[in-house]
Amino acid sequence: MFRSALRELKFHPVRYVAVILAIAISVGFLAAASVITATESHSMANQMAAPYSKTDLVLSFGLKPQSASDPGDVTTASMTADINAVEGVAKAEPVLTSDLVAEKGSITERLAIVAAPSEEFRWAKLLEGSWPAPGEIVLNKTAANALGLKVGDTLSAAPFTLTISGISDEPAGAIMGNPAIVNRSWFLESVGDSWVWGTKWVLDMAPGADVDTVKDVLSKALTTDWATPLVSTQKEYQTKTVTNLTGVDVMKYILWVFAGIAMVVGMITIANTFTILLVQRRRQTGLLRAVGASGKQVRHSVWAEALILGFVGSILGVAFACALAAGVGLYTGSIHFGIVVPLRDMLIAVGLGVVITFIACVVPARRATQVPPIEALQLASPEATRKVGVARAIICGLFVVAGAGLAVLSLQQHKAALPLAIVGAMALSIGVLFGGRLFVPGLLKAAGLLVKRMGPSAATAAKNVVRDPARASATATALMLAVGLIITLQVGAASMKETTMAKLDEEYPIQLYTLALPATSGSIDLNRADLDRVAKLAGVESVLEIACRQVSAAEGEYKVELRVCKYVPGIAAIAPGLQSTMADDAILMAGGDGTTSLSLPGVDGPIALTEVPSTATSWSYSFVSPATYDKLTGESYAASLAFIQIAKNAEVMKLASGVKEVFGSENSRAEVGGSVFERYTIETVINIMISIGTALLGVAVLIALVGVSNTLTLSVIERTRENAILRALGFQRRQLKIMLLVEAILLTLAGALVGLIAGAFFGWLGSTAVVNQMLGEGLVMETRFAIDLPQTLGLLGVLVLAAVLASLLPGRRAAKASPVEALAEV
Amino acid sequence: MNSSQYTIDSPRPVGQSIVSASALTKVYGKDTTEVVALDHVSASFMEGTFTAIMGPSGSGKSTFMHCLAGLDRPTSGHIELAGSSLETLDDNHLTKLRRDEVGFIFQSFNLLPTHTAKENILLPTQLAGAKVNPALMETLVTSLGLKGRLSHLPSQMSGGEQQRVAVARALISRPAVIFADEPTGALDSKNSTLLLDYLRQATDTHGQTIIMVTHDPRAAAYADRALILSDGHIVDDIDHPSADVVATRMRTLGSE
Repeated sequence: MFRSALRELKFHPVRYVAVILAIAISVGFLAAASVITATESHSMANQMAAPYSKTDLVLSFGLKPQSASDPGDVTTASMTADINAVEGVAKAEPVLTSDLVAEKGSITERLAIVAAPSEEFRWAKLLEGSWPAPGEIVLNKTAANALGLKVGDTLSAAPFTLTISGISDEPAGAIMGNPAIVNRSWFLESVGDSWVWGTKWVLDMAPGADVDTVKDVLSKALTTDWATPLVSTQKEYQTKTVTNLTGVDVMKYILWVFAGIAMVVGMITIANTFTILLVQRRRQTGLLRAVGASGKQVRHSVWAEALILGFVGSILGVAFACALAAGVGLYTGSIHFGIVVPLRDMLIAVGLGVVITFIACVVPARRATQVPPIEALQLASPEATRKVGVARAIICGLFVVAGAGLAVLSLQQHKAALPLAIVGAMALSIGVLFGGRLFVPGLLKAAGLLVKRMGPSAATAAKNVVRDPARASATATALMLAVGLIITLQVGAASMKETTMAKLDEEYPIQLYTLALPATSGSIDLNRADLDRVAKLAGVESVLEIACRQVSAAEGEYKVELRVCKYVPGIAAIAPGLQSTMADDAILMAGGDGTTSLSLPGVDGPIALTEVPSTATSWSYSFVSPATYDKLTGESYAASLAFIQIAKNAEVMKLASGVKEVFGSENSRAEVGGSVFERYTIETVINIMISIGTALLGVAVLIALVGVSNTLTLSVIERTRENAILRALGFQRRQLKIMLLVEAILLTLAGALVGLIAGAFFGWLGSTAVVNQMLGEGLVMETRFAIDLPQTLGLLGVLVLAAVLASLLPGRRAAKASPVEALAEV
Repeated sequence: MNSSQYTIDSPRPVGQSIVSASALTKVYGKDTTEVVALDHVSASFMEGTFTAIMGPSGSGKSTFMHCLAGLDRPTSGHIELAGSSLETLDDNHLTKLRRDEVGFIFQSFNLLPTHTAKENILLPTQLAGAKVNPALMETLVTSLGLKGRLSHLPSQMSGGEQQRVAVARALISRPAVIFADEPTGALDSKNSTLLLDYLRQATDTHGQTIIMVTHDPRAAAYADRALILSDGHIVDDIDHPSADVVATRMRTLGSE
């Protein structure tokens, strides 16, 4: 039977293209996640180990847990001297590393800086220029190119400004930032020395010294009650770094979750294709049965086919993954250290590929062998006569009811909101996905009614698309799953974003403020010129200047220096949610509790005020009412604090960094704060999450669309005669193609629509549950439903476009059929 | 057989030629596998006549019909159908000509399984974007006894009914010619008789031109004329054939 399977594959290779493609994409995704993360982490480890690559030994300390107290007098410098004094050590030097963010215009580049080593420890070569003097820096080529800088140029990396002295040959670092080398004494002075117990030393041994002896001596000389020295050779250290780097694995497992989803979609597509393949082979199966093949033999032949296909597809997938990893490696520069292919993961990926293909073929194979030989030999076209199982309706109905119940429960309490929502959504999904057979045909019929009047092609398509409800449902279900997941992610993230933003509006109503720091002259006014410059920045709607006094207050026996500002009504206009006035006997303070009393010096003697918390303040300034403010002593500065109102649709981050640039300069010392930074961070993180998630789930959509094309191709083969009748009766080739196009679009939209509705609900449910779970019992916070319209419409657009593409090949095939060939009497 | 051309000058009883073929040749395959299905066949068919094309299996009668109807392209030769030279038409124009001027009746009915009887009948007019003549529809449906079956799918109808739907479909667009390929092949004798009577009547009362491929001498007896094909040549042209004459002629074919 294995041979018959092989023959089947050999004679009809085209029929299997789609199956192999679906397997290859599913497996490829999984494998790519693994190869790429392995390659990147390997490169990262090598980059991290680079400063230790030209040394004999690497030394660090392990703290003893039971030790009494930190011997505070030990510094990195004193320890370095101690190590150098040990017999057999030729030279020891601490490795000093830190991070910087270089900026040039809108470009930012993360740099992993390291203090330049002595000549014997140097691991990098200079391509041009010289090693850094104090205030200088050596970049690698990638960073220099990204920033558009060359030797002699100035690099600004807050708070430093450095001159580029050279370009090194170090490879690009995608995850850690590009490596850069600075002067050692400059590092110690500007960045600071590193904490001795967290420092690593590179050390060269004296000529002729023995590794084990030196290790031993070091251990004896440096062991204290507090810490023990850990010494490893360069080789040992390298291996340890590479194997210990496991943080990236988390990323791999997250990717695997998405890959798993893609595999499920792939499985539906594959099962669907097998069904159709076997329907096509009905007569052949009947013949085999008639001449004596047992049902088991036929079934095993199909199994063998599935195993071969699964294996071939999986191998292709792995090859595809390696190619992709090479591409990514070229882009990030990690290819410098070579592509790493984790064999175990590849075996898992291939194994899974074979297993899902096999599982996908089991049901179709069983169905094929249940066909009695006589029936199979009849010329009956495989019209859909399968009835919808009552059992299916009941089971799916139960899942839906249970899921909906759990969802409602999840919304009603906080303690187990998230677990309930997850289980509920899963039950609902199972009900909807497996019940697709129950409602997809109806949906397609309804959609068909809409297009029916759009000419004969569309009318015929509307009829064709519901002729095999089981197949149509399975095709649409694959899409439903893929689209549903994307929309869940998008709506969930967008709702979370809206909810968080609303929360921020409430808790941190002041988006952007700037507060003058005391100048040497004693003034606490903001620089007039700076204020004018800020007012002119793009995106600034208005600047509200607020008068403040610097006062010494008394809280019981404690004295506190306070910046007390005047609560003018304009504040409420800038930050909706704040009151326009405040009580005269209160002071709005961060950390206020509503009861503690505070005494401020007034012109008519001390004024007692109650500390009240307010979201209008920060830890740097407080508010009193205008009446109270006017009674205070101390000089009043008219523009000590400024609230900046940001225009709608402003480029928030550009604006904020513009404000920072103005007030961050040497001559105008001012603090810039506000919730704009949190907002931006949250928004950015969520946006990145949505983009990455969408891209990853896009693979699942791709597989589902392969399924649409597949279904169409195979129904074209099946409908050769019908298409020929249409051609004989006067259907143009173009009309046949349009017919298939409409079929593809109907199938796609039916799946997408259900996915959209279900996904929107799950997204909302999920974000509500997350918020409720975080808030805990008793607290209520309104969750907002948000859907990113451009994103969603974009997705639908892409789907329709893909449906058009999916119909192209089948359409060509259908149009090629000659009317005569098809009408030949059998 | 040494003569490559065997032409019969058809008598011209009524009207003028609506379909004609001259030196029609169709070759399948290449070199060693070459099969000549039609070998320089010429014939013309008059408007308002009912012609039967007969011949044993492999005689080329189906190929002849497919070429005449514009379903297949001959290797060489000239065909004129309703005033158009088929070899000059591209696929789109050929399709249009088929749609507007030709009606088909097939042995296996060839109805679209997803369309009801009514939708199947209306398909050609729908494709042409033309308005249906309700009177014609009514007449066809009544005369073919399809009333009450119009909303049925092909799978819910008997063979005879399906073939009558196919006949209505062929007639609805008032085509210049109807090509029938073994129309009674899948029918019992009662339904065969009904169908042939109907076709005969269509020619007699409406002047409908019909060209029918058949191997049944009784069916051929309904025609005005029978062309007999053998090995890609027309070997006989019988005017007002009777079943007996045709049957005898067919039996003697092999012994010539």
